[in-house]
Amino acid sequence: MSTRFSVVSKPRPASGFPLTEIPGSTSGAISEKLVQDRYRSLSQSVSDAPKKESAATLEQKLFDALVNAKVSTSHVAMHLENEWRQRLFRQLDSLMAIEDWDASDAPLEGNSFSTFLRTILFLRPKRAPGLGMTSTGEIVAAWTRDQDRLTMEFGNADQVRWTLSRVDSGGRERAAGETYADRMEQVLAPYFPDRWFER
Amino acid sequence: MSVVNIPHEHHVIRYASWTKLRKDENDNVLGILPDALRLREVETSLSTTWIEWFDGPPQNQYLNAVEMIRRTMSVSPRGGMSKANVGNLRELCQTENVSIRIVHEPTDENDAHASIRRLPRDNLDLLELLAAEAFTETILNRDLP
Repeated sequence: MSTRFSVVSKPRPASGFPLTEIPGSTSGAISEKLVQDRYRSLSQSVSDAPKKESAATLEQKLFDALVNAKVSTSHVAMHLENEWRQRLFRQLDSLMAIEDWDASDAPLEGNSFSTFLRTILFLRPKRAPGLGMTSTGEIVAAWTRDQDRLTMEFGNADQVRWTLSRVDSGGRERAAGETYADRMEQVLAPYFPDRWFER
Repeated sequence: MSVVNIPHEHHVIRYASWTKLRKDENDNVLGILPDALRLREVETSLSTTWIEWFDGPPQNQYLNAVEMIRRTMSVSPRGGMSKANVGNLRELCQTENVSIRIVHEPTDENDAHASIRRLPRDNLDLLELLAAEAFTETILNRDLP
């Protein structure tokens, strides 16, 4: 049997990130405020990123995108395990290596990366995803366990497009949808995401 | 020139750059991502190379197709050559009520060029299905002779 669901969240204003509670983060009002401050800082760092000169070389653009991504990560580093953060940096270095870059692709979009970080902080997966990118500069996270696949594409303004397929005794089940970073945990819950997120 | 539909039992190769490859957390390559099959704004069909257009035994046909891609595209050592069966591609699309056409459309550079037409521009679910169940054999360019 094969079942498939497609879920699309209702649109909501793109301006400003909803800084709601982060599951698994340190509890308490002070900690919550700290997290919110960090997120504001993260958003600010992206919007303040220097505009790229049109004449900038591809190498410069990739370098700038890589640095911006690492700076953004450093702003929330206290919420990431050291091993997780170091692995992410290695993956980003690998992903944006100029020798493998398709010159027709856009460099990593800072806002897409912010959405990725926020989603990771909400989901807190113990197992890191494999990383990829779309031609338009959106980062992609992929978790694969045997035949079970979970893929997320991170847009600007907190949007996440996702698709999954999983196999159990009832056959293959597929689902896809579009939602927001702070909703991913609830959206994935019926599909037992620990199969992807646990080590 | 008449349009040649590529037979069901034949195969095509799609080149996917490093960023379009599905990897695990240690960068081991597992296949391709849906975006490897997503049409860009300027594209109306998905470009592939028809393996059986070349003569010889299957392995020679495959390697000749790879060589054609290398000659006609900018490829990197960590780019992936991903192979799909044409019939499987059509059948998977039909399960989603999408009727694609896979036709031989030679270009000035690539005589074995094949186009996948009528592929929805932005159906992530379908593209993921094709990435997972049609393009099932992906080999890094650097690992091929």
